[in-house]
Amino acid sequence: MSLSSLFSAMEISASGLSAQRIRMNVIASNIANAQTTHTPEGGPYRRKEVIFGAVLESAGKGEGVKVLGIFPDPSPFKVIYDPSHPDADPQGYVKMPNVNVILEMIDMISATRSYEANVSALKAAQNMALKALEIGRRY
Amino acid sequence: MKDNPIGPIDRSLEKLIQGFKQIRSAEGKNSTFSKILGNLINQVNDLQNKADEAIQKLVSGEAESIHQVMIAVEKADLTFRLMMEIRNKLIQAYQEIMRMQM
Repeated sequence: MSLSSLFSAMEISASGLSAQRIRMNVIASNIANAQTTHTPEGGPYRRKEVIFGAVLESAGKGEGVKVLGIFPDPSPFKVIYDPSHPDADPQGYVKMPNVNVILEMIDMISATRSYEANVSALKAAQNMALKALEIGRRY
Repeated sequence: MKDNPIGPIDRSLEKLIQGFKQIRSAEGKNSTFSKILGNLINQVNDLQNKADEAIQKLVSGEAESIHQVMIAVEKADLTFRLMMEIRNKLIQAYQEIMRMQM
């Protein structure tokens, strides 16, 4: 028996924390690039989204979460009329990123809360372990 | 046997003796108590080292996340507490035996 098998609940919460951190990074880059009209791939910045997937830690010990990948949002770019913009086409229209900052803010709140929920689950697992250690005490 | 109030205690004593016999027979299969304890202490030590390593990575800027460091430290703390609890029990048992009237 390995001692680390005592910590499967903590491992699962840890995977949740890591996943939410990656989600937070993606949201931050979406907000930071809300006005970016140039990217290495060409064209304006395309909003990114994380996809999560469940991973079996080991049989009977629950499933952790893993980021399966960061995928671009296929929705169309916003087109604004601004002939003074250096990236404007001959008709004066500029393609802007398909990022909605308000939606990103909501996603960010959700990521923060999910992170907190994972921390709470982790703390509960830790408290259970500490309580179990009290069984042996006489005083 | 039904009116014998010592019956249940009697039976649990029998089970205890059987348990001791099992432990004695297991000794031959190189799983003595001291070895099990040594194994536990080694694992606790491993986790302590991992926590040290995690902290070192954090201060040198190599750590990818704070929570991994905190969880490593927490694991080390919990297993150390578990080991101390077992040690306390052992010492308690030893003192109990030393207090026995001859």
